[in-house]
Amino acid sequence: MIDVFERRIILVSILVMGLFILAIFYAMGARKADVTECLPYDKTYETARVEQLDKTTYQIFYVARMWNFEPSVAYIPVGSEVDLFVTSNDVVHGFNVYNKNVNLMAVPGGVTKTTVRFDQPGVYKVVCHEYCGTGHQNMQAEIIVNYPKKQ
Amino acid sequence: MTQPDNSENFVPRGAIAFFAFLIALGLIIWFGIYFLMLERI
Ligand SMILES: [Cu+2]
Repeated sequence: MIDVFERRIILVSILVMGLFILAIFYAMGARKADVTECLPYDKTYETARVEQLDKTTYQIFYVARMWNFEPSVAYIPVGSEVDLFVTSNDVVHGFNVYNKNVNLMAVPGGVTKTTVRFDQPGVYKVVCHEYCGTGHQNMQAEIIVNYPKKQ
Repeated sequence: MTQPDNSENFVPRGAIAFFAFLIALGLIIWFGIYFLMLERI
Protein backbone atom coordinates (compact mmCIF):
# COMPACT_ATOMS: atom_id res chain seq x y z
CA MET A 1 0.00 0.00 0.00
CA ILE A 2 1.43 3.34 -1.08
CA ASP A 3 1.90 5.98 1.59
CA VAL A 4 -0.70 8.76 1.58
CA PHE A 5 1.94 11.51 1.33
CA GLU A 6 3.69 9.74 -1.54
CA ARG A 7 0.37 9.50 -3.34
CA ARG A 8 -0.24 13.23 -2.92
CA ILE A 9 3.23 14.05 -4.22
CA ILE A 10 2.71 11.89 -7.32
CA LEU A 11 -0.70 13.53 -7.89
CA VAL A 12 0.72 17.07 -7.64
CA SER A 13 3.57 16.13 -10.02
CA ILE A 14 1.11 14.79 -12.60
CA LEU A 15 -1.04 17.94 -12.29
CA VAL A 16 1.98 20.22 -12.82
CA MET A 17 3.10 18.19 -15.86
CA GLY A 18 -0.45 18.42 -17.23
CA LEU A 19 -0.32 22.20 -16.74
CA PHE A 20 2.92 22.35 -18.76
CA ILE A 21 1.41 20.29 -21.58
CA LEU A 22 -1.76 22.45 -21.65
CA ALA A 23 0.41 25.60 -21.78
CA ILE A 24 2.30 24.16 -24.77
CA PHE A 25 -0.98 23.41 -26.58
CA TYR A 26 -2.22 26.94 -25.80
CA ALA A 27 0.94 28.44 -27.34
CA MET A 28 0.68 26.21 -30.42
CA GLY A 29 -3.07 26.59 -30.91
CA ALA A 30 -4.39 29.92 -29.69
CA ARG A 31 -1.14 31.87 -30.00
CA LYS A 32 0.09 30.09 -33.16
CA ALA A 33 3.65 29.53 -31.94
CA ASP A 34 5.47 28.02 -34.90
CA VAL A 35 6.93 24.57 -34.48
CA THR A 36 10.29 24.19 -36.19
CA GLU A 37 10.43 21.61 -38.97
CA CYS A 38 13.23 19.60 -40.56
CA LEU A 39 12.67 19.41 -44.32
CA PRO A 40 14.02 16.88 -46.81
CA TYR A 41 17.23 18.26 -48.23
CA ASP A 42 17.92 19.15 -51.83
CA LYS A 43 20.55 21.20 -53.65
CA THR A 44 18.30 24.24 -54.19
CA TYR A 45 18.65 25.17 -50.52
CA GLU A 46 22.38 25.86 -51.09
CA THR A 47 21.45 29.01 -53.06
CA ALA A 48 21.02 31.86 -50.60
CA ARG A 49 18.16 34.14 -51.62
CA VAL A 50 15.14 36.19 -50.56
CA GLU A 51 11.89 35.45 -52.35
CA GLN A 52 8.64 37.37 -52.19
CA LEU A 53 5.53 35.22 -52.46
CA ASP A 54 2.99 38.02 -52.12
CA LYS A 55 2.68 41.45 -50.52
CA THR A 56 3.26 40.28 -46.97
CA THR A 57 4.79 36.83 -47.39
CA TYR A 58 8.51 36.29 -47.84
CA GLN A 59 10.88 33.37 -47.85
CA ILE A 60 14.54 33.72 -46.88
CA PHE A 61 16.88 30.87 -47.74
CA TYR A 62 19.93 31.16 -45.49
CA VAL A 63 23.24 29.42 -46.07
CA ALA A 64 25.55 29.40 -43.05
CA ARG A 65 29.27 28.88 -43.40
CA MET A 66 32.45 29.71 -41.52
CA TRP A 67 31.90 32.53 -40.59
CA ASN A 68 28.95 34.33 -42.07
CA PHE A 69 25.37 33.95 -43.13
CA GLU A 70 24.12 34.55 -46.61
CA PRO A 71 22.10 36.73 -47.25
CA SER A 72 23.90 38.86 -44.67
CA VAL A 73 21.27 41.60 -44.94
CA ALA A 74 17.62 41.05 -45.82
CA TYR A 75 15.00 43.80 -46.16
CA ILE A 76 11.45 42.91 -45.18
CA PRO A 77 8.46 45.27 -44.97
CA VAL A 78 6.85 45.61 -41.56
CA GLY A 79 3.94 43.25 -40.92
CA SER A 80 5.35 40.48 -43.08
CA GLU A 81 5.27 36.78 -42.45
CA VAL A 82 8.62 35.25 -43.26
CA ASP A 83 9.53 31.60 -43.78
CA LEU A 84 13.13 30.99 -42.80
CA PHE A 85 14.99 28.04 -44.35
CA VAL A 86 18.44 27.43 -42.93
CA THR A 87 21.19 25.10 -44.08
CA SER A 88 24.98 24.95 -43.72
CA ASN A 89 27.88 24.58 -46.12
CA ASP A 90 30.44 23.19 -43.71
CA VAL A 91 29.87 22.52 -40.01
CA VAL A 92 26.91 22.81 -37.65
CA HIS A 93 26.00 26.44 -36.94
CA GLY A 94 23.31 28.05 -34.85
CA PHE A 95 20.68 30.50 -36.04
CA ASN A 96 19.13 32.80 -33.47
CA VAL A 97 17.09 35.93 -34.22
CA TYR A 98 17.39 38.46 -31.41
CA ASN A 99 14.12 39.12 -29.57
CA LYS A 100 12.20 36.67 -31.74
CA ASN A 101 11.00 33.15 -31.11
CA VAL A 102 13.54 31.73 -33.57
CA ASN A 103 16.22 29.27 -32.50
CA LEU A 104 17.41 26.94 -35.26
CA MET A 105 20.35 24.73 -36.08
CA ALA A 106 22.08 25.05 -39.45
CA VAL A 107 23.12 21.49 -40.28
CA PRO A 108 25.11 20.50 -43.38
CA GLY A 109 22.91 18.24 -45.49
CA GLY A 110 19.79 19.30 -43.61
CA VAL A 111 17.18 22.07 -43.79
CA THR A 112 15.43 23.59 -40.80
CA LYS A 113 12.40 25.79 -41.29
CA THR A 114 10.37 28.12 -39.17
CA THR A 115 7.92 30.97 -39.77
CA VAL A 116 8.08 34.31 -38.04
CA ARG A 117 6.03 37.52 -38.20
CA PHE A 118 7.71 40.91 -38.01
CA ASP A 119 5.16 43.41 -36.69
CA GLN A 120 7.68 45.92 -35.31
CA PRO A 121 10.13 47.78 -37.54
CA GLY A 122 13.79 47.54 -36.61
CA VAL A 123 17.09 45.81 -37.20
CA TYR A 124 16.91 42.21 -36.06
CA LYS A 125 20.33 40.69 -35.42
CA VAL A 126 20.90 37.09 -36.38
CA VAL A 127 23.73 35.35 -34.55
CA CYS A 128 25.37 31.96 -34.68
CA HIS A 129 24.93 30.43 -31.25
CA GLU A 130 26.73 27.13 -31.84
CA TYR A 131 30.50 27.34 -31.49
CA CYS A 132 31.89 26.79 -35.01
CA GLY A 133 35.54 27.88 -35.00
CA THR A 134 37.80 30.86 -34.48
CA GLY A 135 35.50 33.36 -36.26
CA HIS A 136 32.36 32.26 -34.42
CA GLN A 137 31.94 35.47 -32.40
CA ASN A 138 31.76 37.55 -35.61
CA MET A 139 29.23 35.32 -37.35
CA GLN A 140 26.06 37.34 -37.71
CA ALA A 141 23.53 38.78 -40.15
CA GLU A 142 20.72 41.31 -40.11
CA ILE A 143 17.05 41.27 -40.97
CA ILE A 144 15.99 44.87 -41.51
CA VAL A 145 12.27 45.35 -41.05
CA ASN A 146 11.21 48.68 -42.52
CA TYR A 147 8.15 50.46 -43.76
CA PRO A 148 7.41 49.79 -47.41
CA LYS A 149 8.62 52.39 -49.89
CA LYS A 150 6.15 55.16 -50.68
CA GLN A 151 5.34 55.27 -54.38
CA MET B 1 15.71 4.82 27.14
CA THR B 2 12.34 4.47 25.44
CA GLN B 3 10.65 6.99 23.22
CA PRO B 4 6.88 7.42 22.86
CA ASP B 5 5.64 5.64 19.76
CA ASN B 6 3.89 8.29 17.67
CA SER B 7 4.72 6.85 14.22
CA GLU B 8 0.97 6.46 13.63
CA ASN B 9 0.40 10.21 13.15
CA PHE B 10 3.75 11.15 11.67
CA VAL B 11 3.61 14.04 9.15
CA PRO B 12 6.73 14.63 7.02
CA ARG B 13 6.61 18.42 7.30
CA GLY B 14 10.17 18.99 6.14
CA ALA B 15 9.72 16.79 3.06
CA ILE B 16 6.42 18.53 2.20
CA ALA B 17 8.01 21.98 2.51
CA PHE B 18 10.97 20.91 0.38
CA PHE B 19 8.69 19.40 -2.27
CA ALA B 20 6.51 22.52 -2.37
CA PHE B 21 9.66 24.61 -2.78
CA LEU B 22 10.86 22.45 -5.70
CA ILE B 23 7.45 22.63 -7.43
CA ALA B 24 7.32 26.43 -7.01
CA LEU B 25 10.88 26.82 -8.32
CA GLY B 26 10.10 24.59 -11.31
CA LEU B 27 6.93 26.58 -12.11
CA ILE B 28 8.74 29.94 -11.85
CA ILE B 29 11.62 28.87 -14.12
CA TRP B 30 9.41 27.06 -16.66
CA PHE B 31 6.74 29.77 -16.97
CA GLY B 32 9.39 32.51 -16.89
CA ILE B 33 10.84 31.13 -20.11
CA TYR B 34 7.38 30.26 -21.46
CA PHE B 35 6.00 33.81 -21.22
CA LEU B 36 9.25 35.22 -22.64
CA MET B 37 8.69 32.92 -25.63
CA LEU B 38 5.04 34.07 -25.99
CA GLU B 39 6.15 37.72 -25.98
CA ARG B 40 8.55 37.06 -28.85
CA ILE B 41 6.07 35.41 -31.22
CU1 LIG C 1 28.71 29.51 -36.92
